[in-house]
Amino acid sequence: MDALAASLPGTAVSDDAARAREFDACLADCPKLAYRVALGVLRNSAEAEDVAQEALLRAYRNFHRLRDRERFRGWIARTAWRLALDRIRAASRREKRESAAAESAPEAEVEAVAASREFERHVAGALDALPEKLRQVIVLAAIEGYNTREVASLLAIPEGTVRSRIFLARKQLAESLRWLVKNTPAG
Amino acid sequence: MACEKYTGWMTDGALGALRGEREAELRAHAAACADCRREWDAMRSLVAAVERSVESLVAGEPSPQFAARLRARIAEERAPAAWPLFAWRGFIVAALAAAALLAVLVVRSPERTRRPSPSAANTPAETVRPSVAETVAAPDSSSSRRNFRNARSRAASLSMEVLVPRGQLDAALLWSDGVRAGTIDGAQLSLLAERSAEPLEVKALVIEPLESSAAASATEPASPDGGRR
Repeated sequence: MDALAASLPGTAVSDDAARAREFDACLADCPKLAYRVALGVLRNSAEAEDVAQEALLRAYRNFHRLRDRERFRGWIARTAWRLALDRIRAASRREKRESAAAESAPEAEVEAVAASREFERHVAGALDALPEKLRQVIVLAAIEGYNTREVASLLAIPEGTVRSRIFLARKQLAESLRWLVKNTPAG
Repeated sequence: MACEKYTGWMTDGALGALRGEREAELRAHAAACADCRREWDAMRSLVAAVERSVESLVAGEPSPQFAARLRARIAEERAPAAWPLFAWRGFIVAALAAAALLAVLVVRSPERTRRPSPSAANTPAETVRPSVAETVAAPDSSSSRRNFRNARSRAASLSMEVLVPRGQLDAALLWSDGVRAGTIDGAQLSLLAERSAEPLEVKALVIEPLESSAAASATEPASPDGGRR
């Protein structure tokens, strides 16, 4: 994404060159962040790219309205999240995924199941079933390099709130997938 | 019964959120109960696997074409961004041109430039066209507004003069001159605008009686054509 940041100023016209340069400076690793946030919701690379593009384009359009440039990354993350959710809702994919996740029960051991795509599908279903606030923090916290402080900064909420939400999210995920453990044959 | 109690603690234990004495108790029970030990081990594996799975869900990079696509879309975005400005410029120029044209038309209108000749009083009655606008008062109700509109449309169809409030014509002239010369004096314009707020002076319509017109025509010399004969 550095190539993107380096190439953007070249496309700027003289009128808004300063704004374009500032936008470019703020952009940094935001394309990756937007993509990963969208991927955490959509779990489809192509769709996540579309959403990330849209989020960054909206950020460009409304960049002049952002007074506090420090909040740019959080702004991008929240926009990508919202757009991804909108896309999910529009296509009613969430219901399909939830029903698909509840269909079959695994028969293999936990470790073997955990390694499979089937397990990922179950985790994705359980993740989708989480309340939005919990889902948002666990997805952001799962993005490489984002600790609780950074997640708190992205969402503009206290760090303690992030920690408690992460714990609740992990607990709810574990509880909802516990049936995998129950179905594991004793060995 | 004891196993059920420890099963309830297992999720918190696997997440590392169990208080010290409870964790020790759970460990002690798991050491003695093979089923609970197996379930707790499985629970810890599950929690770790879920965490890895969530991380893998959000791992990945955008495609190499991502940057180029974004660059192209931003470039597209910039092009139409300039459009409204040009559109407004065009609109403003068109509005100014229309205002100037209107002012020139008002000033150069043959109806406006025609002045009543001294012999107008001697014109035969059927050729006199009374100014409808002069006889129309300002509207004060919906019916009178309707009448006013009808009178105005009749006046337009008869190519009558348009009664212009005092100051407006001068303002239009000044505007026209200013537009043509490229300079507009705002102070003079505002002074004339104030004058235009003054009430209109409606002149009484004077129509000569037919007899006097006939008498005047009898005493007058013959028409220029007739005189030449």
